[in-house]
Amino acid sequence: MASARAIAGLALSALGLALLIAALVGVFMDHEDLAMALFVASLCATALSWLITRPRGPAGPLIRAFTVSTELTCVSCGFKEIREFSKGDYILKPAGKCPRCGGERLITSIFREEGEKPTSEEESL
Amino acid sequence: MMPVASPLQLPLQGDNFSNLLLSVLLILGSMAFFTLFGQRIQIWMMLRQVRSSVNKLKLMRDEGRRIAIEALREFGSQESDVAEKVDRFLEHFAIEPESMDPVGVVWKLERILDVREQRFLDEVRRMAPKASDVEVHNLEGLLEAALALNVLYKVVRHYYLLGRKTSSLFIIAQLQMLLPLIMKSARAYAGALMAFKDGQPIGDGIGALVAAKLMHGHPFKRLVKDTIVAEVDLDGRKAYVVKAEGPGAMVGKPGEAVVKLIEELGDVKAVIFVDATLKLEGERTGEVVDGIGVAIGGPGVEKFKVEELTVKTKVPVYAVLIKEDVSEAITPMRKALLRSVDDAIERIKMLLSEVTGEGDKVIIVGVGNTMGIGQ
Repeated sequence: MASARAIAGLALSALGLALLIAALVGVFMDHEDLAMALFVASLCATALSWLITRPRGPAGPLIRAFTVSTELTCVSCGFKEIREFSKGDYILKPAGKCPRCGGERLITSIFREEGEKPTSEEESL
Repeated sequence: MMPVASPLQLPLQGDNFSNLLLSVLLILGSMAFFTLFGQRIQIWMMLRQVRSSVNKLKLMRDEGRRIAIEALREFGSQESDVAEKVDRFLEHFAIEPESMDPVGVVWKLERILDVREQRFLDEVRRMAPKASDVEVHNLEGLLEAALALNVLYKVVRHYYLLGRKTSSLFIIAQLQMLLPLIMKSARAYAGALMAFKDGQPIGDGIGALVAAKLMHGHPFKRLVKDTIVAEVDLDGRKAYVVKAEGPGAMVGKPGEAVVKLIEELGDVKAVIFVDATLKLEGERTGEVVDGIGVAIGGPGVEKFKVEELTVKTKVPVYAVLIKEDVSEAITPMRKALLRSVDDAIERIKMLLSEVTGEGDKVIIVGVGNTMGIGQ
């Protein structure tokens, strides 16, 4: 949605610029009425472009609530289970019996998945 | 008959002359307008932008305060004065020691920081009487994040109002240029609120996590305040692994612990610090690098203690650092960071094989906040 708005804004800006150039050509060719109409159309296209691309409302929530997961691993068989983090979890906390082999399980990691991914430009540099 | 131009007729007369005059007047008028009011327009636009950020910071500060009050009430403090106490806490300050005569300033600073920490913990215990020791430390971290948001809001508001009062382009321009970085820090502190409320491991704890994985399953003892040590066999070396005692939000006293260990053990061949470091834009989160020096962040007290001793004892000090962004340091740990733990352990082993021999005594220190990390 945001990228569609950006493309529309860019197209309208380009149209505004083209109309402005046409208006200038009109002035030099003594078509003053046509030039004025083109100039007004150019202003409208630029204003519309600004209206479309301006940020609407807050960019994102001010306090980000992350989805945090807890990974449980069986020390004996290596069976892994990922569940939602619950208060009191901590890494290396014993987490009961393994449902597969009955061995001891540990919380081996607590993490959030999402994060800023590097852009293709950043990766190429 | 062909019209003959009068020899007295000027090239610009009548309509042409009025048009030119009008154009010149318009150009001169615009130039005068932008010369007189251009800076004011610029200031107005910058102030508008700064005001929007001040409003966002205010919302973040208020949200931090609300989350802190809610968290404290969860632990049995239903009194109406909790909000009042939190407000008082948010305005807390510590005055740095005088450094005109710098001799002994580190110890004065340490004393001030110790008293500050104790005061904060006591205050939290009073506000949340049902909280366990781990929860008290987490709540203290939560209040510290809320305090940082309050300070950011107040400082930005101060310069915004000062810029508005004085109409100084330079004050406003400096503030506006710094705003992206200030807002980044503020968003990081805001993201830290929920992590501290729930006791989730944060990016800064990666050093402590490396130490925890190394010492897991080995008996450990408390060495100095909030700091533990375990003796571990690592590739034939006798490694003394140090970290803050988890899983509460603690950083311990890693410098003091190293000093104590070197004094007790005597012949230590190497000290390796494992810590998180801020990455530059374009670098990868979780990248592991190694170098030389005492990798302990913060106000510098703990770093100073180790540096003082290693000058005398000539023990070489190495650092293994894991890169992360400032916003990742105080928000819940990312998977990319967790994956770097094994890389960091491998790097420690490689370093040990290069600089020590089998049977040597080494100290490995996991530096950072150990919230949500056991041992």
